[in-house]
Amino acid sequence: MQERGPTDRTPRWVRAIGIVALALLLFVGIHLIGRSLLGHALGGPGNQVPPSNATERGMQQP
Amino acid sequence: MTMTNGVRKFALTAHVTSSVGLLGSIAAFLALAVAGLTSQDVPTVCAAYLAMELIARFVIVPLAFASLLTGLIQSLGTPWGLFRYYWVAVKLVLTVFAASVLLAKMELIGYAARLAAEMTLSRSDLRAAGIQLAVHAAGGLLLLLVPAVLSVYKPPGLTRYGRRKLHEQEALS
Repeated sequence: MQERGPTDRTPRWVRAIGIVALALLLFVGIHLIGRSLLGHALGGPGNQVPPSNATERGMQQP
Repeated sequence: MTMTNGVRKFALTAHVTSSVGLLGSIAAFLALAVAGLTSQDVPTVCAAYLAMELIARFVIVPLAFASLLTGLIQSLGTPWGLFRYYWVAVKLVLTVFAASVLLAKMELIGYAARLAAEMTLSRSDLRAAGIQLAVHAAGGLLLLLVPAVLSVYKPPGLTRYGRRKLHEQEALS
């Protein structure tokens, strides 16, 4: 069997960035699924950008 | 495909200026997002969200694509390659990810600016949008610092493809 030299291994910093990226993706995924489920539970589309309607919104600035 | 020295330096200058400019413009965007969130002065809040949309549309998006494009030219036109070294590949992935998130958030930025332009200030709507924009700007700034650090330190590490290419070149010479 061919022996793997130190240059054949994935560098430690790449693995560290990969783990951080995976953790962030997991967090964002859970966050998005949570928002989506919450949106359905409230009966709305769960959209973060509601339609702009001046009459439904708060106060008009003078 | 290797560039001449003059073209390589021009491409490098374009890449560095667009990447550093991108970091600076995101920092300005973050400052406006924080001002929009924290200010009690209505005209200041409106101006902040309007300026954020202008900065995003006319500075951040063009600089993000310029940084991506000049980075591609820089890597493909030099012996570094695009997938030979981990640090180049990681830079590419992070920049593509940041540009994608930016494009996805343009709708939210436009929405906040529309609210401000119509002078329709629902504090809760603007606050929710403002918090999201501030969090994404801060995250984007931190994320894009990683490629900047990688470019300076150039940490060692050949990818499997890079090692294969290196062996091929050694066999040829």
